[in-house]
Amino acid sequence: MKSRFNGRAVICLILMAVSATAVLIAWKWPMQTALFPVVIGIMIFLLAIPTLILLLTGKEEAAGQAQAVDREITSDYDEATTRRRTLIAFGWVIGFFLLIFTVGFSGAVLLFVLAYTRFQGGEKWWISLVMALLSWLFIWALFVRTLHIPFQEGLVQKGLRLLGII
Amino acid sequence: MLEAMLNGLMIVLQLKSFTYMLIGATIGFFVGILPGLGGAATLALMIPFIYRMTPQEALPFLLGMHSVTATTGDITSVLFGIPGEGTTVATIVDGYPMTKKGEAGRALGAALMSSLIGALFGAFFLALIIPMVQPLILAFGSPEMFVVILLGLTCIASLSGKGKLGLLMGLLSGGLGLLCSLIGQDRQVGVLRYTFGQLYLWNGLPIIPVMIGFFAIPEVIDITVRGQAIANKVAFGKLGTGVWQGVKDTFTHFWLVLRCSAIGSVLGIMPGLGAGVSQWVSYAHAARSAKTDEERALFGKGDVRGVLGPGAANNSKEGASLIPTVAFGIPTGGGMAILLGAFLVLGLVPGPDMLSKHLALTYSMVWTIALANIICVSVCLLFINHIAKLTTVRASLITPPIFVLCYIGAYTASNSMGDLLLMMVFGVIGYFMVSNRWPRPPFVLGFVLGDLAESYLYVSTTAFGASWLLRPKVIMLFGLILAFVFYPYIFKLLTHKEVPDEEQI
Repeated sequence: MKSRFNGRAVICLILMAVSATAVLIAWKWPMQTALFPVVIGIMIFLLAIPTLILLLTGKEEAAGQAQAVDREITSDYDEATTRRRTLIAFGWVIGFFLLIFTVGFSGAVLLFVLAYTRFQGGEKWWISLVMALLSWLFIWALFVRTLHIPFQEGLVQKGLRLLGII
Repeated sequence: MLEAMLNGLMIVLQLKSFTYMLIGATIGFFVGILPGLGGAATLALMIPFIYRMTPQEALPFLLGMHSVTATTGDITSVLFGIPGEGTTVATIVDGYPMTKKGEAGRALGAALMSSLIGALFGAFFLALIIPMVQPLILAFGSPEMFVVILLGLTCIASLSGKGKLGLLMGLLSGGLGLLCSLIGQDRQVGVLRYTFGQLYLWNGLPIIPVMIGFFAIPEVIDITVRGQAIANKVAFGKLGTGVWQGVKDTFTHFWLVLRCSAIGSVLGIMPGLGAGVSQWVSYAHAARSAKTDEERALFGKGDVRGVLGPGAANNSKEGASLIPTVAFGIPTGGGMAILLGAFLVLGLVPGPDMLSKHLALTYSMVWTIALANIICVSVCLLFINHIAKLTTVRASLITPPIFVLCYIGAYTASNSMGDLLLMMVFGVIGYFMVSNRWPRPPFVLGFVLGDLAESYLYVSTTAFGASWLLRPKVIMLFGLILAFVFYPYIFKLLTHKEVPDEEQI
């Protein structure tokens, strides 16, 4: 029997751990509150056991079955390139969040689009600048001016306000 | 009745009403396209504008806007893999792979035409059912509603993959969705569940950041990894050529479109279900319509039927969901709840009056849904070639705006930095699920319906004890669930086309 401990099995194990924890936490609650989480948690745990066995034995995988009806990510590159590029992409996701946290939404949009287009996309400076300005203008016109979305200030603005500069 | 229908049409065709409907439809067009900016939220934003309007002007304005959001929401789903609306998530599953194959025009043509047929079907359904609606609504109590939710979940779980493993993974994914929906304050007793001391989690996980994270973040990661246009390796001029093919596909699979429209309409009546469920049930139905395993394997990889089913259903529910709102004052979802508020602002009280004294006004809603969608789809079809060409723009130029839309869309859910964190967390979960071929659709359904399922289960158990399990309609619905799970095996056994071996059973 060939063992196939892969990402799918890891997710299955995580689900088992999450459901067990959910049940243990719910055990202390009143019956009305705990009923649904306990039922769902136990169901997940019980269903995860045969799933894990099937995944580890790899029978259906080998038969080309169990293909999820969902989209598939790209497989055009070798594993190392894909992993490196994926980490960079997640870096941009986290970086944008940190920018928003630091300089607020409007400033972050301007800086992020400029940086991404120039450094990740390799576009010319003037194209990057035009893209950044257009994105900022769109956000400002629609969400700030028209819809009055209350965007939180970034750390920089808060700091400047504390110092009495703005 | 006929006179009321004609009077309803006359109301909509009055210059002022028609102009307001066009303004509403134009707003709805952009709201649908922008991810995160939902139809319900925009309805709420528009309420202050109707104070000075008459009901004959305000209802075409609001409904004209709300009824086209699902139609144009499909455009974003198909082109960028980001749900333009919460109701257009299922369109991504096959629409986006079609775009990547260079069939954006065809997918859009199919989505728009099926949306139009769905909307017209929904409007017709509303007109037809108004006189006989009461017994239908009253026939389904909490136990039946609970089992209908289980049915929706099983439909999509059974579709999630082939064989036992596929079904199990689908059910686990749905279970995780249910578990995530339980986060927050319990409605029955007020106990805080899985909030870990975080105030942000008290109201539960907001759906928009979860959906954007789950579907859009894996998408932007993938586009960044590929570093190419969404429809890479496709000649620039070829994208729009499939539009009429997509329109033709709608008529080639006309019965499928009609059946999915009927699914959308029937589920649209049920409070709390609506498009959240109907899009997936109709997707499941479309996939079930595949005659062979090979044909079914094409779903998820860009089968046009996977676009037609949800496209029709998420529009046909619009007319149907007005039925309980207008007739009983029971809103079927967030959008309808806000519309109900608008009724009260306008001095209209839902109930028998809407089906007698204000019948012409009620029929004007039917006409608004039909006309707004006809106009919207016609305009979209005219400009679809240009819209589809967006997918050939290089990744370096298209990715930053998608990033920005994701973050803005997530943030506007509750204007909190927590929304962005939540989006990123679910982005990571979504990416690992999709990269390890765990199906995401069952999770969405479980997450959307978890709260409601718990409420129905609680009410059923409190009111009937365990005896609700023996109600005839509940037994019938459970039978339907079993039929869905074992359908492939039953089909093979009955047709003797292939005797299933032990492994398959």
